[in-house]
Order: sequence, then structure tokens, then C-alpha cells
Amino acid sequence: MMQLRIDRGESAAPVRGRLAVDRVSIRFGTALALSELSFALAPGSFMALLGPSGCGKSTLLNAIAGFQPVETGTIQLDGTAVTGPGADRGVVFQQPWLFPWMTVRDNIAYGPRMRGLPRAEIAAQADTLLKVVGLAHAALKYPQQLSGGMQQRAAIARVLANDPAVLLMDEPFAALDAQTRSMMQAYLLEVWSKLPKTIVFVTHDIDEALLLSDRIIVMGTQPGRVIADLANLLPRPRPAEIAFDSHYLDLKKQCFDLIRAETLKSFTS
Amino acid sequence: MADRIAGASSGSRWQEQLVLLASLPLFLIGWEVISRSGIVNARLFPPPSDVAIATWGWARSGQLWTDLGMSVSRIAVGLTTGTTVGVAVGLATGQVRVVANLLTPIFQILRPIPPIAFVPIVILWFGLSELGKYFLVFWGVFFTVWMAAHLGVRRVDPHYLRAARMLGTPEYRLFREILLPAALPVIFVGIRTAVSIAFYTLVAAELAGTFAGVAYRIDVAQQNLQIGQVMGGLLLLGLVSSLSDRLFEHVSRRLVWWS
Repeated sequence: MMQLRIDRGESAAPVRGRLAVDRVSIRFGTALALSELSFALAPGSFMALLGPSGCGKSTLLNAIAGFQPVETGTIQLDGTAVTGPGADRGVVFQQPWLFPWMTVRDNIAYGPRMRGLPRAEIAAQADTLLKVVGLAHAALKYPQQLSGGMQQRAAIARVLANDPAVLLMDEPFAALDAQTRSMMQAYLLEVWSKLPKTIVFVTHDIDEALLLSDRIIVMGTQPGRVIADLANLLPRPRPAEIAFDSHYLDLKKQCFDLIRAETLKSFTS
Repeated sequence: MADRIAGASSGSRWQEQLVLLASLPLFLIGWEVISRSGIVNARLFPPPSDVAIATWGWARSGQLWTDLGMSVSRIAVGLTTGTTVGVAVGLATGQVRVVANLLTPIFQILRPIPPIAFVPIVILWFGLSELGKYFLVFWGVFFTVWMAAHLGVRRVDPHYLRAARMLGTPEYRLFREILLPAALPVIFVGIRTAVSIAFYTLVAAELAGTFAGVAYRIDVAQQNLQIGQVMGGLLLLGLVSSLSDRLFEHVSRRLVWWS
């Protein structure tokens, strides 16, 4: 389950985590929040969901998580329709939402405990993940005693403990300071290289999308829909200097123009 | 005050301790001087030395311990039952809308009635038995604790429930694993308020006709113009109430460390 992935070649391609969103529409009252939205993700892919605020990025993520029922269309994970929240789709929110009455270790062990795994397995799993996220020294602390970045790392570990097929991340680093954010981005890529989950990463930060993803879906507003589906083929690892690379700049400009057009639309309408 | 303490240099810290230690003695000396100076009627406003003598006599006769024991037992019974029922009902109304809609209008009418207003009817219902006293303290405690438990559950951030569900928590375990611990800090604040309310209600309860109790003794001493004992009784009530509050705060900080 915790096998290390040597490289990102086909030989080690994961088999779980095929996510298919098919013509999904969601309505809030009379307002159409999402309209006929479709895309499919291969197992182990890292997709960034970009778009101006109010375009329904979070609504879409909540629908995949099972918090938000869809009006029409289907969402399938590895061929099974999503009908509600479940441990196969781990959500990392903007705030960590760790349980403050539990130690960091108990927070990480929570999912496996709920799923009724044997005690020894829960303990081993928690200890492994504490090491993976570099929080072994803070295992017995309470979340309130940790910094924002450490809390978010614990939140990621808590979700990974369930060995989900998909990670759904809703602007997970937006509340952190710039320094911590860039460390968290590097750290997320490191974890992803070890545990290659399918990731849907909601962000409004174009640079963040470019640095992390291998695919960028840009959403438009009124109603929320896919306006562009871009492959991000920048080579990995991606050092900070990649921001000066011409491919990087082209892609950035493309995203920038798309989002600005959408933002202007919402101002003029 | 707080920022001054925080900002105090180490040199003045012992001075602050000194002022703190001198506070009560200065108060007692001032009181003694004023009472004995003749500015006020010393019979109605006896000096602390007289209060101490009266209280000592009260204690030596053994009556003080009976009175204290009776009062504390009324507080204990009323507080325990009121808290238990209040938490149980509050958790129910906080979670189940039907129960909330059924009970909240009734509680909102009954809650503002001051417990002391119930004294006449409590005497008719329970006579001079202990049950009547328990009932009055219960009445004072119940609504406060109910309200805290109700709001505590209602105000649990839905993100905790989302997090729990996406981590695979079965619906029937949400209460025990998430709702209860997330609501506990609010519930404990409510119980702490209820501890003070229990003491207010105790006074009403003991004026409802009894044979022992600190508030009852204050009433009797007043009728006999034993003002020293009246004041001793008042100080005793203040002391016990404040000790209970401190004790509860200490215990709750250990029990709900995450608040």
C-alpha cells in the first residue's frame, strides 16, 4: 500500500484513481452554478483547477467529495458512482480542520480507526505517515500547538492514512504565508512522488497551478463550466527558475488571459 | 490591569505580590476602624472582629457545619440533576429538529421565570421537604445548561462533520466522535455559569421554609438582630460559591483541554 514509486514511467503507473466527471450540472435555487461539466482523469494525474472566484471550483470539488449532490450528470471513481462522502476521496480543506481534542497522531489514526482496521495496523500506518510528513516529533502534540504549515501537513497525512484513490485539495495553501506555501508545494510534490494519488487541486494562483500540475482545467463563470483544458508538460522536477522558462510563460499568459476575460465578464454583466 | 501585570519589571513584581497580599487585611482594618469610629451604627454594621466571634460561636455550636452540609447537599443534588437533564435535553434539541421545535417554545416561556417566584407553589407541592429545595436549584440550573448544550451542538462547525464523513465515519458514530467533543467547551461554560446560578437559587430555596442551611441561618439571625452572624453567613456563602467556581474551572480545564 505504501510502496515507493521509483519514477513516473508507465511501469509504476497506479491502477486506482480514475475519476470521470460527466456532464455535471448543479443549481443553487434558480442560479446555475455548474453547467454540463465534463472531464476525465487518469490514475496518478495531478490536475489543477483554475478559475476566477465564484466560478464553482469549490462546488465541483464538493460534488466530487460527495458533500454536494449533483442535479444532472454523473461522477464516477474507478467505475463506481459517487453518492456521498467516502474514505476513497480524501479532502484537504483551506483550513486544516484537525480535531482539536485529539493529538496529531490520533488525528492521523482517525480514518483507519473509523474503518475498523486492526489496532496494530492503525499504529503502524500512523507512525509511517508521521515520518512521511515529517511530524514524528510532534506526534503527541495537539493541533493548536502546531504552526499553520505543520497543521496542514498533518491534515494531508490524516487523509493519506485512508489510502484514498483521489486527493481533493481546496486551496490548501491559500491561508499560509508565501514562504510556507512554497515549502508546502515542494513537500506535496515529494509526497505525491512517493504516493502517486490522483490529485484535484483547486487554486486561483496561476503559478501554483503551473508548478504543481500536469494538467490545468480553467473554469469560467456564469455558469461554471470548463473553458480550457491545458496539458502542463513542463519537465519535473521544477525548480523556481522554471518561472523564466518560455513554455512556462506561454502557459501562464494563456491562463492569465482566460481568467481575466472571465473576470471582466462578471464585472460588465 | 492585565497588561500592567504583563509589563511589570522583575523589580516591581514582589511589590505587586505585596499589594495583593495586603488587599484583604487592609479591607478588614478599614472596616474595623469605620465600625468602631461611631460614624455608623456598630449594631447594624458590626466590625469584622465581632463577625469573627459570632461565626466562631456558630461553628463551635456545630450548627455551622449542619447548615453548610445542608446547603452544599442541596447545591450538589440540584446541580447534578439539573446538569444531567440539561445536557441530555440540550443534546437532543441541538440535534433533532422535531424535538427542538416541540420543546423550545415551552422552554422559552419557562426559562425567564425567576426561581424565587416559584417558592410559594413549591411549598404547596413539596411542603418543607428537601425535594422542594432540590427542585428550585434544579430549575435554576437546568435552563442554563440546556441552552449551552443546545447551542453547543448547533454551533459545531460543519467542516468538522465534513472532515469526519470524508474520513469514513459512519453516521451513527458522528455524535460520539465529533459532535459531543466539539460541543463540550460550550457546555462546560454553561455548567460553570450554572454553578453560580445554583447559589443564587439556593437562597430562594432556603427562604422557602427549612430548618437548616446557610441562607436560612442568615434569615434567622437577621430576625434576632444577630448582625455578626448575618455577615458571617454572607461571607461563608461568598467563600463556598467562589471555591466551587474555582474548583469547577480547574476540573474543566483538565477535562476539555482543547477549548
